[in-house]
Amino acid sequence: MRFTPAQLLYAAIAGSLLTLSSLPALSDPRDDNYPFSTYPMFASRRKTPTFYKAEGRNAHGQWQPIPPELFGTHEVMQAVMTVQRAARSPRDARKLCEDLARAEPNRYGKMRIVQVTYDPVKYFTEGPTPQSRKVLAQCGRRSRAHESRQKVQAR
Amino acid sequence: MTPALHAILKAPPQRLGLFRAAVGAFLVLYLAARAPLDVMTSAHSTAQFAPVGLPAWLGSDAPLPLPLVVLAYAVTLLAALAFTAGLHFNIMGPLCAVGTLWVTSYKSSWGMVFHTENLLTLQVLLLSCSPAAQAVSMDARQGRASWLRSVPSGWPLLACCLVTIVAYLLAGIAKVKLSGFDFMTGEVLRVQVAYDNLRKIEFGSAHAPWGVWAVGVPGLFPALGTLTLLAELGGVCALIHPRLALLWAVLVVGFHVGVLALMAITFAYPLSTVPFLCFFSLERLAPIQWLASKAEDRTPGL
Repeated sequence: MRFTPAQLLYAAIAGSLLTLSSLPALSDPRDDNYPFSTYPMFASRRKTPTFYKAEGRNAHGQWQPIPPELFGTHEVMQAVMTVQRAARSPRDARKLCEDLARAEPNRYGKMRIVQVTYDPVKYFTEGPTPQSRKVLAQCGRRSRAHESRQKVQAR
Repeated sequence: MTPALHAILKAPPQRLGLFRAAVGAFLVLYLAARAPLDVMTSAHSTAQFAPVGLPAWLGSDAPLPLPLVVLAYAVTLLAALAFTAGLHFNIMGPLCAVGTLWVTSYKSSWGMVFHTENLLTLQVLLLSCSPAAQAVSMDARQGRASWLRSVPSGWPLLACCLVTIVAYLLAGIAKVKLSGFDFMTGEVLRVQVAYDNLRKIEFGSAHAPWGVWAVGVPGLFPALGTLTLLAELGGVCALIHPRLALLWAVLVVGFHVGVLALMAITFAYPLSTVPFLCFFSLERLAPIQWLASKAEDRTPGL
């Protein structure tokens, strides 16, 4: 059987794409890439994962999660990864905090980057109490009420 | 040769053309719907740029200026329209493939590698350099021949089937490597569902109420875990018989419906069922035959 040059060309292109698509089977699933992925989503065993998140304090003094839109995306995962990467060093955490505060100066009086550890199943079955919580960076303007409260406490 | 392989490899050009049109139509709708979100993604700071895919292969270490991002998106969308219509496919097919690879790679180049577009991109790549516009296309109507017309129509279809099977097989292998066959007990999946919804709640984003409910019903997850692994590792069976292919496709689409219900994650391409159409004799479907006969009444192109 003889093949035409066009058939050989297509076989080479398709064969290469299929080989490159299959090769991630040999690597560590955590070494993900695009478009030749190991598809590691939902595969890992998670016990008490640590979350990194950004919070803003509203006019009523309550801390709220900062929505993905403030990170310049509608994808929650992209926002998660942005905070996770920034949380690696105090400097980056501080910079992200300041960037977020600059992006929406009137919505939140203060912002902070926090590290929280939860048991995900217990969160839903027993209640949303964190196992641990640590503030990595805090920034933003101080409210007058807060400052005067601090002065009173200092006296 | 198995009945399924025989059916795929002996496919007429109409089937390949119909599959190209379906993939292209999905791509056009997807790109158009996502345009504002994807273009906005490029407003991230330069420090967050972590190129993967085409930008990484081209050695790009800084994001593009916004006008170039918009231009690349617009060119890709226009090329996708031509891809769907099968217009000047020798040129527009590869242009659409490169554009799709660029746009989807760029979206994943900000620290989070998405898994929702790999299969679409790979199928577009496999179709773009094939004679996929030999039928059901403007090129066929206007008498333009494919440069690759000697390639049998079944080859690109088989390649698309294989890349689909491989994508799910890899997802299954990752689960077995990272969690072992314990995944079938369902506990890993239950924690994943809880983790994903918790993350969304903590980020003030929309979560899946059914997922929150399901976490409280542990007895549900052994079946879900087993079905997930069956769907991901069982794709090879689709190459044995067309009925097994149908069963597998239903199982995989069902898996994605489950992911949507329990984690509010939309895998739009598999949910559309388009990637699985390459396994089936599309040209024999009654609505397609009716459309083809109508088109033949007007022009001999189809």
